[in-house]
Amino acid sequence: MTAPWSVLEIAPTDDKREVKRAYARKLKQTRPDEDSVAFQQLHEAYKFACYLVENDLAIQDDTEDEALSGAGPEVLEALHSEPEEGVGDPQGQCQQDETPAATTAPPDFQYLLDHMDALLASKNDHYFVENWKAFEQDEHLLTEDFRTSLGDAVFARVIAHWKACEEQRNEPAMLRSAVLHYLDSIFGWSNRYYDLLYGYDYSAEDLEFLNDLKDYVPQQASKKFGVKGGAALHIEEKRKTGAALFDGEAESLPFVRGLAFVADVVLLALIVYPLDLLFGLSAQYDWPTVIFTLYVVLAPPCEASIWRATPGKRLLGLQALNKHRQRLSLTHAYLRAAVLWAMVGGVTYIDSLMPIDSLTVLFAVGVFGVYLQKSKGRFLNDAASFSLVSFARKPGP
Amino acid sequence: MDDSPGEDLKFFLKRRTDNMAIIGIDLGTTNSACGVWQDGAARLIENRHGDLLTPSVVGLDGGKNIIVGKTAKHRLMTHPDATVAVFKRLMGTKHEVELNDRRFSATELSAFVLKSLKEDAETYLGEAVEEAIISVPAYFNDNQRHATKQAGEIAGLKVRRLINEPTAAALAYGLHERKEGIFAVLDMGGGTFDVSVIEYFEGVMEVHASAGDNYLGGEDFLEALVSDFLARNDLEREQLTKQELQQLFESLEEVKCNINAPWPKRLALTLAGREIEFEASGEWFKTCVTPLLLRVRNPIEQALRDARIPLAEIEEVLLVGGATRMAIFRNAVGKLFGRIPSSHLDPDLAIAMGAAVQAGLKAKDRTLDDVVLTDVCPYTLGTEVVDPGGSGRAGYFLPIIERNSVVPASRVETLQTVENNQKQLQVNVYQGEHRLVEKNVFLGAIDVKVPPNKAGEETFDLRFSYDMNGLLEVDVKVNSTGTLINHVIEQSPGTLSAGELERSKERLAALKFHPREQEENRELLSRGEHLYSLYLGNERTMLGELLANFERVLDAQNATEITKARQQLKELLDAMEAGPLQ
Ligand SMILES: Nc1ncnc2c1ncn2[C@@H]1O[C@H](COP(=O)(O)OP(=O)(O)O)[C@@H](O)[C@H]1O
Ligand SMILES: [Mg+2]
Repeated sequence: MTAPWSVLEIAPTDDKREVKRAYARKLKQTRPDEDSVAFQQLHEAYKFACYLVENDLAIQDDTEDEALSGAGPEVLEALHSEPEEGVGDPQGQCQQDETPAATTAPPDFQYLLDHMDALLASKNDHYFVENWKAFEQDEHLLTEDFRTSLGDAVFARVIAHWKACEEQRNEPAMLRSAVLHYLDSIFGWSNRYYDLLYGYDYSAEDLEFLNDLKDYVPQQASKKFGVKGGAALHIEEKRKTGAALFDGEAESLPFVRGLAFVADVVLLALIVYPLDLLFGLSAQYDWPTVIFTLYVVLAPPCEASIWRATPGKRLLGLQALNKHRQRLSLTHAYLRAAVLWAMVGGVTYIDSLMPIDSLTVLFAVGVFGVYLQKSKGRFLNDAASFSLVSFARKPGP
Repeated sequence: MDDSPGEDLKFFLKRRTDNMAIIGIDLGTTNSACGVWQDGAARLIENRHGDLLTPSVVGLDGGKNIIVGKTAKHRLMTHPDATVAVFKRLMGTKHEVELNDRRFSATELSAFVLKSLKEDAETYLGEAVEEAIISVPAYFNDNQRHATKQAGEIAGLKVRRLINEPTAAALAYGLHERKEGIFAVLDMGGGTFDVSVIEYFEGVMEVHASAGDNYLGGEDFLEALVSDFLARNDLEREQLTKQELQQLFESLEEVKCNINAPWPKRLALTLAGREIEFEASGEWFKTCVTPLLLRVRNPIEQALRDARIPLAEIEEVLLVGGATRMAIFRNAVGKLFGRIPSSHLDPDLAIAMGAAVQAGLKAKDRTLDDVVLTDVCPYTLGTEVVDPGGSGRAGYFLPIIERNSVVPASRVETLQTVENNQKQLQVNVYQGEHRLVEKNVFLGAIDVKVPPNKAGEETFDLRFSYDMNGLLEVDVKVNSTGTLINHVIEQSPGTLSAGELERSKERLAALKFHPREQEENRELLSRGEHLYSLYLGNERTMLGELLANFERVLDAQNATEITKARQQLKELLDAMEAGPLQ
């Protein structure tokens, strides 16, 4: 007798019940917690026997039986590698799945996709998770086929939108990670990373954001826990949001940013003034240049610190963040400052070529004001340096 | 034959320990329970209040007394700074909870609950109990399992086995009903959701696959209701006092458990100085919890896929855990499986029963000779390697034991050095399903010295062994020198070193439970205080007087007086608790 039958101590059979009975009998002599090596062998033999029975390979004529016993390891190999093939070939699976799905006409979800397109095309609506909740109102969502096909269609749109935003450098239009996470919790994309990677026309970069979504739930969950029972909970990075004088309304952002800048300038002036008295800096440089240079040099370390803000911004509850709404790295913060410096430098240069009269300045200020209103407080240098400034306490619900 | 008295004594001692009962404990997020295997059946043990369930709530009172269970649960509202619940969610992390300016880890808090259960079992059995089986969510990771085991040790219990909760429930069910076939066990308790696909045949309980979500449970449903309630009423959590928040939690918990009851669920609360009236409708409930219900399906799909068992072959769906009582959950599950889930088991007690069966198995009870249990590891375990593609970057995950392999499992992988004259290897051990280690859970690291040689010339064997408890052991063997390093995972987060364990034990030994005979009085007092905080006006005054009187009687220490006063107070509290919702 050959493996697995010798281990199970039965003659080759195509009756699964008999295999199970033999396994159960042997298992009671080879308990997993007593002899783990023997148990492993027994269990493998059992699985192998089941595999042979299920695939009608258990009973064969002699020649083939010989061949099989000789090829034992390969068959075992095939047994072990089977699941990978299954995962690696989702399209094959899809085709199988489609036949039964096609017989019962899938419920229509076009209206949801239309809703989604409208959200994506809108300016701000897509920002709020609430607006996406139309998805979960659909009763059919609990039906697997419906959910999978809707999920894949939504996913394709998310990717297309993502790429379009990257191309146009239109970061404000990008979907927030909270929205992505919400969609993921419905459609379970991050559980299907490899399915999506191999089954569709996506690259690993396209799917990059799926990796981050998984961490999102536990973080959220452990943060909100702790109120229950009231007892104080110590979390290592318990961070207070800045002392917010403003309640985080998006409309006030440009105004508050201006205020923050003024506060920073005043602060710097307070530092520079005694230096000026000591070393007479203003004899060589004019005040604005000194202060602006200092701002450009000193702001980035502050923004890359856990404050995520210069003292002025901190005071008013603002933060400078990268497009993923995370803290800026020091280099990134300097890039931000450099863009600002270049822009101001450019204006100064133009001024030196052909002095700008006060009327033009007034006109420019007006244009800038309109621009700010339109861009919802997003300055040119933010856009050019892939960063943004927002209230530390996120606006919205 | 040398029949020395020493041998005799050893034999006697061995018999003693053999006969000593092993208890089975369900250490839940919300409720815990405990049982033993006795005379061929699983028996659950009543606690000091005569209940089978002990709420997993811990508090400190004034001096150095620990309060556990029902008494502590009443005090959540009256003493929010000194009482804590749902700490199981923090197991295996470094988070600490502050009670009256003293800090406790989740492991220590769990140890309190275990100790209380242990004492109850000792009273019931009339003998010392030193060994236990403790159940853990199947999806608990290695750190969380170690923490649970250590909690047992701190409580003075040697943990003979950690058993997965759904497996325990299936064991209880299978033995009870003696029904063969493949079933799916869904366990949703207070904090976790587990799915196991299990087959029972010929006395063999075989777990095919487990999957789960460690952050999905009844508490999350409650949290969803609370968040939505606050949003609807324009309230911020920060505006509420701890008492108000706790009261809101309790009211909505009641709504959650009774949402399908025919009576109206009207809330009248005073929050942040405002009178708020709220009608909790079924519709409202549904909108709040649907996102959570959608998350139920991912683990179910994963377990079925891993088990490679088609949905049609599932013969029965078993529901355990209190949160599965929600009709909306049952409906969703019914829809997924296309059949009505069965409820043969008491969802609160099945796991403790199963743990008791496992205790019987562990003690080799003769009545369980024909039962064998095999389980799986729900996670993939592996190590960090450099990019197999040759970029030289580290951070890639090499799976060594695939998830849902049967345990105990042991696998070896041979790895090599990557740099010339590399002197040291750092073997980082991870658990998870992602191809990059940073996305997986870090379990620990082992430093190994290797003799300097050309890159790739030095090889070492890395052996992972996953034991029956779902705990990992790692062996490293350097092939050129033959050096062998066994299972020392250092730097593992959230678990205590031997020294820390000792210190924890000492620290907790200084804290004492109230003497048993006083426990009933204490429970009554805290229950009274809880009601006192709920009522206003006349009732409140009357209750206050009665409580003060009861305290006076207790101080006077006259036994008959105490019994009389206790009876009186109890009747009143029962009448008041029967309260408004009925
Ligand atoms: N009738 C009910 N309806 C809805 N939820 C319930 C009901 N009874 C209990 N629960 C919920 O079940 C959870 C506790 O379940 P349990 O199995 O005891 O948890 P654990 O095993 O984690 O201790 C709690 O979140 C509780 O709110
Ligand atoms: Mg439970």
